[in-house]
Amino acid sequence: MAVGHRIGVRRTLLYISSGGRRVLAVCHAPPEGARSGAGVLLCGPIGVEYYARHKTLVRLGDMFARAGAHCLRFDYTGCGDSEGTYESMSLSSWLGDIAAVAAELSSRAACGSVSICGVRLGAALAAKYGAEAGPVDRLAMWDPVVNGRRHVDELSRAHERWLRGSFARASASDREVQGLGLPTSEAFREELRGIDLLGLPRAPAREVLVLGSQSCEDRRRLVEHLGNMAPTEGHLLAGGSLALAAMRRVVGWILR
Amino acid sequence: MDSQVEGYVESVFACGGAGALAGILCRPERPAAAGRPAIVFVNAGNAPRTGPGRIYVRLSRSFAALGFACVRFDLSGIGDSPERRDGRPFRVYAPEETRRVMDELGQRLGVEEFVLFGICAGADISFDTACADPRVAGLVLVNGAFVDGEAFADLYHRAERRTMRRYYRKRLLSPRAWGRLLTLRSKLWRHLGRRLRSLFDPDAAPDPCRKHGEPSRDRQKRWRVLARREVPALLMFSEGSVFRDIYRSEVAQALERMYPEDRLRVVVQKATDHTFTLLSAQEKMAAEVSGWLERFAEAGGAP
Repeated sequence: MAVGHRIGVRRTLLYISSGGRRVLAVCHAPPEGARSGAGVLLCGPIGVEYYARHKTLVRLGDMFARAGAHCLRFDYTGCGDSEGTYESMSLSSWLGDIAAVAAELSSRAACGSVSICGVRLGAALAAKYGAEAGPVDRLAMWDPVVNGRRHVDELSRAHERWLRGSFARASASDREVQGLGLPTSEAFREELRGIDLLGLPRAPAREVLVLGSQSCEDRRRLVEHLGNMAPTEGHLLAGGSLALAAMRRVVGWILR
Repeated sequence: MDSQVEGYVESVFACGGAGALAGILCRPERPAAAGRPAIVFVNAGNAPRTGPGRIYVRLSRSFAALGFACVRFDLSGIGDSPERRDGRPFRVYAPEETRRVMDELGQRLGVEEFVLFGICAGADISFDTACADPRVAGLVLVNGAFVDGEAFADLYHRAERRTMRRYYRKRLLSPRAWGRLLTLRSKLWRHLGRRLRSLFDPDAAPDPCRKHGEPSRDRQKRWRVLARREVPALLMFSEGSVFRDIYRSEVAQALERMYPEDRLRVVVQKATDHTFTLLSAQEKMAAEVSGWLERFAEAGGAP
């Protein structure tokens, strides 16, 4: 069902079946006559990062569509408007979500393989999907989470900072499930801790772009590691409007 | 509360043609009992329709399981709804768009009455909408400011200081808080620094001429409209919200004087931050609102 137009781009909300549950996706369709036949999937971050980057992902979807590509965003199982709860989250269900949405995108855009832009944890999941299932044409990784253990620690510290000075008092059950800000099971947190992109055995895509807004040793090593398997570019973003600069670079690179 | 709730069905909800609003309709699995109002969730500030920490998703699913049709949607420029390009101010178009959602729901489900649910800015938009539309039969207003634009900045700073005083009074006996203070890691140092800077900045000083303790005349008039219509209102504040202090100093006295006693319920939820981040806080809120809605439905509009 179409929900709006923005400069010729039509956004449509739709449900896609994944592992017996429905995930909510948003399709950014290109204006009539501007279709390039490309399909781009956006994989977003989780928790507080989901809220912080939501608007950016919506704009990115519009930019891809204006440039002629079909673009799909979605909420992982147990997140956003998708079905499920934190108990239904698992890495395999989320990789299944990516596969289901990629299949839908490829039939909508009538393209053989899709490209993916992943942000933070979304970039790590997209890389795992590309390396394990694929095929992915181009993969743009924006501030990717390289090491899951460090990411879990970061989210947990951000959650503690958020609650400090706020009157909120976490009960024992809150502490058990909500250490990352969003509710998660210990089993799932352990799966997240196990993510290590430096151990990817295969190239996640035909070509890879890694964008970072801060200099980071992990990312430098990631570019090196992926570069051994596929053509990989690494860029450090600098200057004023990082988000806009990153969006332009990602759209230009994927649709070039 | 995040465990799987049964008894609801969700579908995509779009409202209007060009510039349509995006939303999700969450209905009871079995047909809702006749005469039950539908619940409309209004964006909490800039947070998309899922609400901060996904609270609108959890609440709408549990209210639908109780027999209430719910819709959570994005106002223009928030979440998935496109920005407007007519340059109209948010506080003008947001209530109009909320009414458009009510029109659409009325047509689709045959519902004639609505309960509006809003957190923070969503509470203020819900209030504005209710004043303009008699189909609003109930209000759940969580951490609303209920103060008009010009006075807001000044009031906010005063209320923030009161909130901080309450917070540090509570922490007086906490060894951890003292530890943080003595090792300069406490947020109190940052607040004190800000306060010190404001002493030397005449623009930062609050307006001493403003009379406190009364909402503006226009606000009073609009609360009176709702009081005359006897619209049941549940006002919730979290202990950690600055808006609780604004309510106490600016709104409470006048409102509680003019509003029918059996139509107004004011609840302060302890140990809770402004956005109900923790699941336990969301559960408490859900229990309070569910009870209120059930009483609302049983009494045919008066909980």
